[in-house]
Amino acid sequence: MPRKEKLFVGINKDLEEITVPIPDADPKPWDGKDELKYIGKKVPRIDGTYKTTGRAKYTFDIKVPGMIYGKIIRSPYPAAMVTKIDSSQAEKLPGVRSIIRVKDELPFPVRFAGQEVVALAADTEHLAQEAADLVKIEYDQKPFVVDLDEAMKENAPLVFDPKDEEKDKVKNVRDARIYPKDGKSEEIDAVLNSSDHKIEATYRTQVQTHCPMETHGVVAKWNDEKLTIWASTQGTFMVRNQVADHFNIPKSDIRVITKFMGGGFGSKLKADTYTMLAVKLAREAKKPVRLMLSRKEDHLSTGNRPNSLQTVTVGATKEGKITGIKLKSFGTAGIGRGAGTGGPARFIYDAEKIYTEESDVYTNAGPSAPFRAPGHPQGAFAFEQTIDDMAYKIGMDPLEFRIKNSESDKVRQAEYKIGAEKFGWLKRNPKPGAEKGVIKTGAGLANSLWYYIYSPGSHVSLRVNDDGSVQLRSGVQDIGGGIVTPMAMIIAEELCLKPTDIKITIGDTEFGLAPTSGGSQTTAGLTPAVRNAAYSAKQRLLKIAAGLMEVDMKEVKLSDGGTFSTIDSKKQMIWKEVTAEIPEGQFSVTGERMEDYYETKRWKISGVQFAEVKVDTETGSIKVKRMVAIHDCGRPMDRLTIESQINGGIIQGISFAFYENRILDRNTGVMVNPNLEQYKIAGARDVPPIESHIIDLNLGQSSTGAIGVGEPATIPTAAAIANAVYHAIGVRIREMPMTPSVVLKALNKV
Amino acid sequence: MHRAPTHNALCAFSPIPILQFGQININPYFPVRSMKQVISMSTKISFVLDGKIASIDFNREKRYTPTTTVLNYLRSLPNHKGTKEGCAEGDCGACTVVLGELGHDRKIHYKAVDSCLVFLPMLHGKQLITIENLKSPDDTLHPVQQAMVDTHGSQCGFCTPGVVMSLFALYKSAIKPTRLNIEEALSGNLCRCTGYVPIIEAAEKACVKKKKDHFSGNEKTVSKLLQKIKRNSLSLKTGNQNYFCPKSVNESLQLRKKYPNTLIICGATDIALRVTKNYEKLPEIIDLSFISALQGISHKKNSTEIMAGTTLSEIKRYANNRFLALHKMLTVFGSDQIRNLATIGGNIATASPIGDIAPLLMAYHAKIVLVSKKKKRRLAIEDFITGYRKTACRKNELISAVIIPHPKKDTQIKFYKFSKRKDLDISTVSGGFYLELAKENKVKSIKLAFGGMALFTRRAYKTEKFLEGFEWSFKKVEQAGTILEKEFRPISDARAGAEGRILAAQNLLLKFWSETRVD
Ligand code: FES
Ligand code: FES
Repeated sequence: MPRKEKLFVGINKDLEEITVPIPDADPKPWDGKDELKYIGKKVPRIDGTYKTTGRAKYTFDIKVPGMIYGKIIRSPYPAAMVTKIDSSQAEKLPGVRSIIRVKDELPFPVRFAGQEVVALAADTEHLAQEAADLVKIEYDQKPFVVDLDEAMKENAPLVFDPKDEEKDKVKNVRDARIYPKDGKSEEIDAVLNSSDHKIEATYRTQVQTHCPMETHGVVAKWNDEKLTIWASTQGTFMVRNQVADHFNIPKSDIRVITKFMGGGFGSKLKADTYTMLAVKLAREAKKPVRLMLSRKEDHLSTGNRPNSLQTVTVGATKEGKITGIKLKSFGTAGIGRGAGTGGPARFIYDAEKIYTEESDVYTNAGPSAPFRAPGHPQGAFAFEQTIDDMAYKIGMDPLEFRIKNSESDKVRQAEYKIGAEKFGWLKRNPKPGAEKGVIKTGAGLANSLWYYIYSPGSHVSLRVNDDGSVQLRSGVQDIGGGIVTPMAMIIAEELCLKPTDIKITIGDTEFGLAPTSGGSQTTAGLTPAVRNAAYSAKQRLLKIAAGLMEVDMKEVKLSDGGTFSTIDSKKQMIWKEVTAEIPEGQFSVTGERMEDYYETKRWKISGVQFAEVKVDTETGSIKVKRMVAIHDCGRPMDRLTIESQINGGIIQGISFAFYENRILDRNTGVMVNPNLEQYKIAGARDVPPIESHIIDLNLGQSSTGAIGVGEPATIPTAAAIANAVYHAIGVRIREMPMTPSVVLKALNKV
Repeated sequence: MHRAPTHNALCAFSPIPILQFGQININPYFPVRSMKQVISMSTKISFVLDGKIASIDFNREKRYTPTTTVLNYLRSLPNHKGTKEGCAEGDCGACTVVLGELGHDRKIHYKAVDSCLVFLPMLHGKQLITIENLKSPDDTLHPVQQAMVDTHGSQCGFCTPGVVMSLFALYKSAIKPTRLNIEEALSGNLCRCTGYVPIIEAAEKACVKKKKDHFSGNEKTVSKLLQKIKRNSLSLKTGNQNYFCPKSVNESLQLRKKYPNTLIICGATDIALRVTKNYEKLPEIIDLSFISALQGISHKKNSTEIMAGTTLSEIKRYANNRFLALHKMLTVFGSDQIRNLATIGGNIATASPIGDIAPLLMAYHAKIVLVSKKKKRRLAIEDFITGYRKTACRKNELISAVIIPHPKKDTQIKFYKFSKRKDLDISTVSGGFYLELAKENKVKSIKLAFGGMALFTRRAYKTEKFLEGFEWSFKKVEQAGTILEKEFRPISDARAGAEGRILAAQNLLLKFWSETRVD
C-alpha cells in the first residue's frame, strides 16, 4: 500500500503543497523545502584525477592478450554495385587472420562513399592496412545524388532501387510526417492568411558531424560461446541487445564493458556495422579484435545531424498574439531517416493552430544518427528567427512577444525574468542595426524546448561492508556527463557520508540495467534507483544500530559523519561501529527506478538563452561577446555537472552556428573535409563568457526529482546568436554556418 | 630499395625535391660545445623518458622505424597510454606531450608538441614528458592537474591528458599568462565536451601564481642525463629507410648530392601525415633540424636575418614589438604545438597556395637566401615562389635564411585573414599589405599580396598599379576592387566558393584602407 506524502513543489521558492502516493519502501521524495548537504551544490567530479593523470582507460586503450587489429575497407563511390571482391592476395599475407564481406552474396549495392564493403583483421595495424591495399574490389558505378535540392528533383537518381526495397523507399522524398496527424495544410493557411500579420521565410542549415574526441570503436573477444565487447558507447545494454539480436545469441552470453568513453553526443547509441564486423572477425580469427575507426571514417559513417531546408510561416494579431504556426521542412539524413525539425515550432508557444510537415530526403550520404537534441538546434534556428521577425514587424520587443505567447509555461516565464535581468535586456537599443560604425553590437534571445524522458526499470545494487565501505554498481556508462558524481552525492546524502567515501563501479552489463545515455535521460532515469537503494541500506543500518543501542528503530537517526544516535542523543555510535556488526560481513540492497509517482503534466523542459554579438561589417566576422543561459532540469543534482553541460552545449551551438559543415563534393559524392582541420570545431578562443542560471524545479515525481539538461543546452544557441546578429546589423542571416562570406553576402544585398 | 619520390605530393608538381622545413628546433639553447664534435654517424637515438635515458637502435629494434611517430611509440609502451589520439593529423592536441630541451643557459626549456607529428629521431637529446610523468613521486597531483580536477575541467576526459600537457608547458614557461596567452596555449587542443570554460579557469588558477614543482627539483639530474647524450650526426638505416640528421649545412649538401631524390625535412609537420595517413614509406629523409647553423635570428643594421630552421614559436616571440604584423599573423597561425615544430624555411618551401606566411613576407619585402656548395644567392620572395608548390630552389641548394628589411618609418604593413576559425586553419583568404604614402595622401608605393586567391601566393600587381600615384581614398580603393576581381580567378574548394573569396579579398583591401587612411 502506498503511503501519502505531503510535498512542496514548484519553481524555486514559489512552492505549493501537494499530496503524492509513495510506495512504502521508497523514501519521501526530496522537495522544495529540503535543504540538502550535497545535492544541488557544486561538487567536482569524483573521477577527475583518473582523467587528469591519464589513468582513465578508454576502449581506445584496451589491449588484451592475443589481440589483433581490424580494418574496414569502404566504398570510395557514393553509389555502386559491388560486383567482384578478390581477396586472394591479401589472404596470402602472413599474419592476416580473417577477411569477411559485409554481404555474402554478390553483387550488392553501396549507397554512400564510406560504406563498409570488406573487413579484415591482421596481427598489426600496419599489416591490416597492407592487406587492405591488396584486396581488389570491382564496382559498377551508378548515378548518385548528394545534394538536398538535387535529390528532390523529379529526375534525380534514386538512392534506393525501387524494385528491391520497402515501399517507402521508392522515391527520394519520403512522405511527409504531418502534425497534428489529422492536420490540413489548407486549414492552417486559412488561419495565417486571415491574420493581421503574416511572415514567411526560408532557412537552410548544414550537416554537422558528431566528432567525439575518441573515435568509434570496439574490442571484441570470444571465449567459447561467450562474448565480451569493450565498446566506446553511450548504451552498454543497447549494444548488448543489438549484438544478441544480430548474431542470435542469448543476451546473458554477452558482456559489454565501457569504463570510460570519449564522447558520443548521440552517435554512439547503436552497435552499428563496425561492431558487428569486429565481432564477426573475432569469431572467425578466433582472436580478440580491436577495431577503432579513424577520424575520417568517423566523419563518413558514424552519423551526423541532417541538414534542413525549412519554410516557417507565422501569423499574429496586431496585439501580438500568435494565431498560427506552420513549418514545412525537408532535410537529408543520407540513407537514413530522421531529418525532422518541428519540435520547437510545435511546442514552445501557445498558438491557436499549429501545423508541421516534415519530409526526409534520401541522398547518397552516410546515415544520420541522433545528435544532441535531434532536429532542435536547426529547428530553433529557423523558427526562433521567424518569431523574432514577427515581433519586430508588429513593433514589439522580441522578449515581450515571447512572454506574451508562452504564458502557459510557468517555468519559461520564470526563465525569461531571470534572463532579462541578468543579461540586462532592457538596456539594449530597441532598434535593429542602429549602431554607427563598422563594428556593430547586437543582442538577441531564443527559446529551447526538450522533453522529459526516462525509462523505468533501471536498477542498481549497493553493498555495505563490515569495514564501513560502501560500493555501488550499475551498468550505466558515463558518456562524459559525469553521472558517477551525482550518484555518489546521492548516496552520501542519504547515508550522511562524503561523496568520495562511495566506491562506484559502472560500465558493465553484468551489473544492473541502466538507461542509454540519449535523450538526456540518464540522470532522470538512474538517480531515483540510486537513492532508493541508499534509502534501503539506511533502513538496514538503522535497524542494526537500533538493535545495538537497544531501542526501537524509530528512535534512531543517522546524521552527519555517519553517526547513529538516539533521537534524544543519549546514545551514539559511529559509522564503523555499526557497520562492523553487519551479519556475515556484508549486505546488499537494490534500488529500482519505477514509474513516476504521479503524472506531473510537465513533459517538457524549457530553456532560454541570450546572446550579445559584435559583427564586423567589413570582414563579415561575428564575435559572440557573452551568453546568458537559463535552463531547468527538475531538481538540480550537481551544479558543476549541470554548468558543465550548459557550457558544453553552448560551445557546440557556437561551433554549429559558425564553423561546422560537412561538405560533399557534388561531382564525386565524396566528403571534402573529413578531418578536424577543414571540418572545424570551436576552440578555446571562441569561448565567450557564459553565465548560466539553473531553475530549481521541484516536482516530487521521483525520489530525486532530477531531469536531464544535456540536450536542451545546445538547442537555442545558434538561434539566439542569429537574432543578436539581426539586431546588430538589421539583416537576417537565414543560412548556417554563419561564415564571414555568408554574412557579407547578406550585407551586400541590402 | 630505391623509390623516386614521385608518389610524393609535393614533388609531383615540382621538377626538384622540395625542402620541407618545420620542426623541432634546438637553438638558441643548443650547447655550442657539440658543434665542435667530430662528425661520426650514430645509428641510434637517445632521449630521457621516465627519468632515465632511453635508446632506440633502429638496427635492432624492429618494432620502430625512424618515421614511427612519438605517439605510436608511446602507445606501444605498457605505461604510456595516457597520451591519446584524436586525429593523428596535428589538429586536435589529444596527443600533446612536452619536450624538455637543454638550453645555453643550462636550463631545461619545455615545449608542447603534437606527438602524432613528431618522428622518433627528433627526440634525440631531449626529454620526453608525458601525462604519466606529471604527478610527483609522492603521488600528489601537479598543480595543473589539481586545478583541472577542482574546476571540473573534464567531461569525457579524452582530451584531458593533452590539455593538461599544454597547461603544463604554460606552467613551465617564463610568462605570467594573460587570458590571451592561455587561449593561445590551448589553441591546439580541441575539447568537444566542456566548452573550455573550466579549462581556462584551471589555467588561471594554476599558471598565474606558479610554485616550484618536482620538475624544477629534478632539473639538474635531467640536465646531466641530457648532457650525456652525444649529439652526433645521425644516420639511421633500416631495411627500407635511410634517415639522416646532419649537423652542418655542408654535410647536408653532400648528402643531398648523394641522394638526389631524398626528402628534406625540418619540422615535418605535414610530412608526418604522409606516413601516418597515406602510409608512404619515404625511403630517404634528410632532417635539418639538428643543424644549429640554420637556427637563430640576428638583428642587422637594416634588416633581420631569420635562419631557415628557426621555429615559428621563436619567431613569434622575437617579432613581438618588433614586427607587429608578423607577430599578429603568427598568433593565429596553427597552434603552440605546431609552431613549436614548424620552421619558417619549411613553411615557405612548400609554396602552398594557402599559406599565411608568404603573403606577409611579400609585404615585408623579404628575401630568401639559398646556399649551395659554391655560392649563396638571394631572391625576392616573389621570385622564389614560381608556381603551384614550386620554388626556385635548385637541387644543389638549401634554403638557409629569410631576410626581412626593417620597415621604413611611416610605412604600414598589415596582415589580414578571412577564415572560419582563428586557430589551426589554413586560411581561406589572407592578405599581406604594404603601404607608403606620399604627400597629399597619394600612394607612393603599395604591395598587395594574397594567399588563397590563386594557385600560389601572388601579388595583385594590376591593382597595385591602379592605386599607385593616386589618392588613398575610399572611392579609389573601391574601384580597385573590380581590378582585383579581374586579376584573380580564385581556386574553389571546401573552404569558400570563388565568389566568396573575391568578396573576401575586396573586403580585406577595404579593411586595410580603413585602418590606414589619413583623415
Ligand atoms: S592526435 Fe590529434 S593532434 Fe595528434
Ligand atoms: S572532455 Fe570530452 S573532449 Fe574534452
